[in-house]
Amino acid sequence: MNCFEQCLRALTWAGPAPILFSMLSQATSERRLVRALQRGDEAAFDELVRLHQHKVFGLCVRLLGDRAEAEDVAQEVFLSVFVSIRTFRGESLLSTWLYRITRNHCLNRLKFLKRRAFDRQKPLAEEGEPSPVGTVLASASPRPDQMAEGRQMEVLLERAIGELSDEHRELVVLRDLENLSYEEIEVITGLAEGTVKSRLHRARMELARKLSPYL
Amino acid sequence: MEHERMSERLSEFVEGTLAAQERQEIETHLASCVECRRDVELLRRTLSLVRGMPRPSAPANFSQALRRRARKGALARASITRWIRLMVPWEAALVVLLVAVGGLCVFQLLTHQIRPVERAAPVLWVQDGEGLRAVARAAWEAGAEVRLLGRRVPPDSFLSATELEILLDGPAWERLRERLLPLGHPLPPRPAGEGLFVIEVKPRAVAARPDGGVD
Ligand SMILES: [Zn+2]
Repeated sequence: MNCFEQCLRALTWAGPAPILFSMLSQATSERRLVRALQRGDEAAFDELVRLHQHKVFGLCVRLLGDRAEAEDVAQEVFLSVFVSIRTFRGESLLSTWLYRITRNHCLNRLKFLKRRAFDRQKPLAEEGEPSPVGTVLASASPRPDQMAEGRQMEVLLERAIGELSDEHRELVVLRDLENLSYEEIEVITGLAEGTVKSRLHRARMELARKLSPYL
Repeated sequence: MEHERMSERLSEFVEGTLAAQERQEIETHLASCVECRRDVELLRRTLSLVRGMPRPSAPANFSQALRRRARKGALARASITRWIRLMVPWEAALVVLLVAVGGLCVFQLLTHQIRPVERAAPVLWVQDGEGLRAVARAAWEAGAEVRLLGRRVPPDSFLSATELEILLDGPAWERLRERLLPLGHPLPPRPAGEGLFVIEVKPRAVAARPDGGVD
């Protein structure tokens, strides 16, 4: 336990500020974790993965619409974090920083997948056939058993999210699925506040229109 | 225009993140706009659906798979960097030197064949191409190596009007001397010393004497 934490404990002991204390102590433990990571401490990396694997993987699944791709990219994210943690200055929360890296890796993977799908596309695609983008992301197509399990709405929702443009999808995912604040989303996407808000509204309306027959 | 301005903010209205005054404005507009009322309802239902979606969990073996992949990558990187780091500078310099010398040798071997003899080569003058071929054949029979422009050539491929080099050891010199006597090409006695000797063969008909004169 360091001096800062001891002082904090002494201060909060007297006053009724348990929430403040828990927030601050969370910040301290995160700082400690980051320092251990920057030293190359292996146990710290295990801890990082244990704490954030579901967030990172979940974001990958939502952005990519495919579990196998998501697992591969999520691993890549952690592997790149092992190297780039030295550049982390603590200007944002560690989780925000991780989200940003994850988002960038996913966008790169989407570009790659679309290019590959485009290359494989027949030269004379029929009218009304799904676009290469749609083909990549509509891989979350419902299995019969899923429909039978009463997960219809969830499956429809996954598909509708998969059909959104990359720009729209990421905002819906970050705000409505990951419950992030606008400030965090600005850091993650590098977009200005006004852009995030107006684009998010358009994304939600697009999603709502897709789902309206089922609502 | 009022409708346009209001409809942009419906998302935030539904989220409940608008300031009181803006909220009031929108409520007033909603009272008179069917379209916006419908959109608000659609957004509410969509958001509640999206927010209720469970986050996909990372696979149970995620951290093990990640560790395996990290180890594989680290091994590949470490083996090269460790090898370089383990060497003290003079060892590195030695390796560079050896590689350079080795490379030069290989280059020499591939481009020219190595010339083991660098003594002043005696010149054997012959009359013409016919004489050149006769000497070359005799050299071949004496067990010497015949070279045309630095390359070893078989006995019957000697063209007229070119210079030849004969590469030979002491016994071959003696044998060649014997063979050339009846052909009218007296070869000088073998020079002192061990190893290989070179004799240049030049036809008088085409080559001017090195001193500019004519025999
Ligand atoms: Zn309206």
